[in-house]
Amino acid sequence: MNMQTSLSQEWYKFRHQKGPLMGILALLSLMFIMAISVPVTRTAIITGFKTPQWLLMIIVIIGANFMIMEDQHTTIRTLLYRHTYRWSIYLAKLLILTLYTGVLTTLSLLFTVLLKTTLASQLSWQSERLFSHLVVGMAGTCLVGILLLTIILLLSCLFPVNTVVICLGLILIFTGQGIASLTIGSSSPILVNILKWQPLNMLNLMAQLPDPSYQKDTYLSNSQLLAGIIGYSGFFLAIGYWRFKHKRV
Amino acid sequence: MLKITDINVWIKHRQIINAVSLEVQPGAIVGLIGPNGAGKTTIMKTILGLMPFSGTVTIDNQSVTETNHTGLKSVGALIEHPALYPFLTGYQNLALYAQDEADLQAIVTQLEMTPYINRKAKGYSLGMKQKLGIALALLNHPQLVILDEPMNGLDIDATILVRQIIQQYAQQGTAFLIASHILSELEKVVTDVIIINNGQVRLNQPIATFNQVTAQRYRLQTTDMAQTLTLLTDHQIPFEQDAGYLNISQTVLYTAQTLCFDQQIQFKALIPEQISFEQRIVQLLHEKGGDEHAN
Repeated sequence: MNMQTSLSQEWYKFRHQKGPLMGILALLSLMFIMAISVPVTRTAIITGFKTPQWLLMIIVIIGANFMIMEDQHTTIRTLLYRHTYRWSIYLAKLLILTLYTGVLTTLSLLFTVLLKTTLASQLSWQSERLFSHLVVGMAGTCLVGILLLTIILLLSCLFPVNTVVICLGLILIFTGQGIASLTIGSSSPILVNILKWQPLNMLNLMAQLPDPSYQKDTYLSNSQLLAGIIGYSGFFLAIGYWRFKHKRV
Repeated sequence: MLKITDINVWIKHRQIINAVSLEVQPGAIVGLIGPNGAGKTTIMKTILGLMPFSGTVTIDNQSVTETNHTGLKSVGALIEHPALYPFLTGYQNLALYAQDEADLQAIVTQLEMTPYINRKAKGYSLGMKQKLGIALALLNHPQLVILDEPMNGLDIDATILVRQIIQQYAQQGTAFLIASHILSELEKVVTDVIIINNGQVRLNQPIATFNQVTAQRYRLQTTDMAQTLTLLTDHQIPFEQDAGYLNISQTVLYTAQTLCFDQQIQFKALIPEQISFEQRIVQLLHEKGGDEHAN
């Protein structure tokens, strides 16, 4: 079976699950709750009413379930023997999840615009580049989401139990940036030059893109963070696929 | 069709399959028989390229390896449990892999799944899931079908139906490799028997040859049972008495015949004691170094 068939099969499975739709509804609901529970400020709009936090949580849960369901339902055997090469399965799953991340990001961007227009019409989109900061912040979140997906797929191959992978993913989301800042901030200048390239530091891209002041904590420019995200995504994709290729079923 | 040559499979430094070679011809229904842990499922997984192995597996002269499944394009399989997505209906589970809508519909009708095919698979009974698993294996006109315990959870009607469908597909040229512990069912469909134990092939024969086993013992009745009994005792020929018959071994049958003939005693009945397919399998497993019984 070729890549196109793999993509169409994975899409078929993805769209027939309730989880992805629930994820979209949960994201929009949480954004709405955030918008009505506190005063709508410029910062709230730029962060899409805490979109990065909710979005990453949702893709961790959906991504882990989408991968591990094959082991849970023993469908992995049929999936593997019916496909000529294993890479097409792994890549198709990643592409579908990346597309989902893109859809979530776009919807949250549009919903932020809607919420801002409804609840904070006094704030101007032109004021302090509000709209462009929102867009680049969302783009950063989407890129971090893709990096996170490659890590989740790798973890799913290492520990095919969805609760374990989801827990590890959530720990990464909630503590990753903090650990990165802590390790870099408390290190000697020589170590900083090494530690600033750790994968956890790349998670700061989504915060730094709309707010350049973060650069004093990350010690990396936007383009360096972007290069780091691309590099680490490729790295985790490669070792995740290597593990998947040698998976015993 | 399928040719396996000298395959060896190791799992965690333990050899599970040891130099197994076998062939399955188009239209053949090969029964893979052996006790639990003999290596049946591992052989099936190896054919499907799901295990690392040494040796060669070819299907229609196309090599199958753990990383290249090009040779498996015309193979269907049901391994251990039906692999179904519970959030999809039975129809959607089939549609996921079906290349031809008409073929899908034909299989659904053949396996009498129409009443529940549009229900979510998570609500299926064990038998319904098993039928759907078999349907998945039969999709897209496979040239080789591998079935591991296909009769699990099936009621009598479904068992008969599946047996008929297997025979029907085999007549059209599809080869089957079937592992089952239900030997009575297997006996009704197989054209060849492969007995495996401790990861090695112990016997590989057409069923016709397998069934041509010389009876090991005979039940004998003569015109003078009392004198026959004396004769056998005097000549130290072992026997047992059973409901008016003398049971003797096939190895001493001709000696007993000569002794009786010399004393002008005629045989009234000489009945070979046939052993069942199941008994023969158990016997072979014991004879050929098996420690466990076939279930």
